[in-house]
Amino acid sequence: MTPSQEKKLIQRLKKRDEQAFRWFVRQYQDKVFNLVYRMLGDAQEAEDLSQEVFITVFKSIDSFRGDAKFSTWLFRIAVNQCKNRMKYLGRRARGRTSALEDVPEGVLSDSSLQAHVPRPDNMALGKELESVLQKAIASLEEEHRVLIILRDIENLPYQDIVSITGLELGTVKSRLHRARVALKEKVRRTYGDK
Amino acid sequence: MATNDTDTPVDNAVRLSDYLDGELSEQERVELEAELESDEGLQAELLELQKTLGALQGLSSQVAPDDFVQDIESKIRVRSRGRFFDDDFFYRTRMPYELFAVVMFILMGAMYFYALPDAPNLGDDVAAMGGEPTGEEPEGGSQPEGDSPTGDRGAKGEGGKSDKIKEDGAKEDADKGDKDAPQGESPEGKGEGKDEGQEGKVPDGAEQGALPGNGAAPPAKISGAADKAPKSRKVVPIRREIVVYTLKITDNNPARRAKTMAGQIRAMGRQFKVTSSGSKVQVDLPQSQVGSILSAFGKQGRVSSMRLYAQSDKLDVNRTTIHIQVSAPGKKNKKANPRFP
Repeated sequence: MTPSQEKKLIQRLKKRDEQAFRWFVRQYQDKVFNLVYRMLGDAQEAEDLSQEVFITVFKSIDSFRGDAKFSTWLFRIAVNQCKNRMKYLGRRARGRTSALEDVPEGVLSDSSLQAHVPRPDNMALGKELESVLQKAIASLEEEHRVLIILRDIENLPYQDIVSITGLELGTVKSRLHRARVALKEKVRRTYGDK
Repeated sequence: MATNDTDTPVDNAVRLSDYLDGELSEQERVELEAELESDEGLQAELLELQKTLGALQGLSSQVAPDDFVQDIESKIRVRSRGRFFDDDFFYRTRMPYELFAVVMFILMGAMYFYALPDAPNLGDDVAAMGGEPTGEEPEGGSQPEGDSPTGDRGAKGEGGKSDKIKEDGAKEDADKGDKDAPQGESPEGKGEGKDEGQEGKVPDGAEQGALPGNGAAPPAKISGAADKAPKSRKVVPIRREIVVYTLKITDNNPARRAKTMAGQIRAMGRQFKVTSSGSKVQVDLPQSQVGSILSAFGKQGRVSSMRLYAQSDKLDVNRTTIHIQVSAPGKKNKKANPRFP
C-alpha cells in the first residue's frame, strides 16, 4: 500500500467508513492472526484476540497520529494485547499451548530437523517439527518471543520492530540474538533428549 | 554491533546472527568467514542457528477463519448497540417480518374500506336543508328505501344486531308462528345506528312481502309470514321518527303553479307519489330522494322541516313527505304591513 493509499484509508477509517474497515480487515487479518497465533499458541484464543485487535483499531483510530506506519501501529496494538492476554491466561493457569501438548514427542526424530536444507524458502516442515518449534517459541520469555515472531516469522525490518516494541535498535538486536540462541538451544535439547 | 574479538558463546551467537541477517560490515564479515574456516565448532554453531531460523521461516502461515470479518462486524454491532454495521442486520432479520406485517395491515384496511357500501345520502339531503340527520342514517340511507328488498341490508345489519333481538325473534317464530322477527327488538336498541337501521327496514320489507335473507328468521318462514304479518303482529310500541318538509312558494297564480309543479315532479319518476289539491301539492317520496326535489324546487321558495315521532311500527321511516304550498304574494304582505290610514 502506498503512503497516499494508506492516508486515504486512515481518513475513511476515522469517518467510521464500514466498507473501508471491511477492506482493511481483509487486508491484514491473516498477518495479525498469524502473529497472535504464534504468540498465544492457541487458535481459538488467537481468533478471539485478533478480532479484538481490529475492534480496537475501529474504536481508537482517532488516536493514530501518523507518526509511524499504520501497519506498525496495528502490530503494536496486537503485541500489546497479546501481552495482556498472556498475563491474563497466566493468572488463570491457561497460558499453556494446549494444541501442542497433544503431540507425542516420540514421533520426533533427529533427522527430521537435520535432514532439511537450510534454505528457508524451500523448507517444508512436517507437522511434528512445526509443533516442536511452536512449543519452543511458546516457552521463550515474552520479550524474546515477540522479537522472534516479528523478525523471523513476520520478517519485519528492524525499524518497524523498534516502532512496535518501543525498544532501542541495539536492544532489539541483542535481545533478538539471545532469543535465537535460546530457541536453538530449546530445539537442540528437544532432539538431544531423543 | 557485534565484534569478533569476543569469545563468549553469546557474543559468538550475536556475531552469527548479524552474519545471517547481513548486518555485519564487510570487514567483520570477512573476519568471521575466515574464523569459520578454521573453527569447526563455530561452523557447526552457525549451521545449527541457520537451520533454526530456516525452520522458523518455514512455519506455515496461519490463516484467519472465513467468517472473521463477519464476526468482527457482529461484535462491533452489538457493542455499539446497532450504531455501526447495522443496516444488513436490520434488513436481513427484523425488517421482513415488520414489513410483512405492515403490508398485510394496509391490505386488510384497504379491503375493508373497499368492501364498505357507499356512504349514506340521506344525511346529505337533510344537511342541505339545514335539518338534522335522523338515526337511520348509517343504514337507512345506504340504498333506496322501500324500493328493494331488505335482504342484503338485513344481512349487513345482522352484525350490529344484538343477540337478544335475534333470540326474541326466533322464540316468537317458534311459539306464535310470527315470522316478523324484528318485533322482538327492544326499544333500547333505538340509540344504535345499526340496530335502528335494522328496525326500520324489516317492517318495511315485511309489509312489502319480501324479506329474503333476513338474518332474524329463515327466509322461507318470513316469506310465508308476510301476508299474516299485520294480523299476528305483536304490538310493541316502537318510537320512530321521520322528517317532513314544507316548501312555501309565492306565485300570482297559485293553483296553476301548484299544478305545474305537480306535473314536473311526476315526470321526475314513479317513486314520487304526487297528490295536488288547489294550491297545495303533497309528495310522498323515499327519503333518499328528498334532495333531488329540494334541489329542483327549493330555491323557488322557503323550505322548512319538522321532525315527527310516532309509536307505531307502521310508520315507514324510509319514506317522507314534502308539502308544497303555493300562495299569492299580496295577502301576507297586507297583513304584515297594513297600510297606514
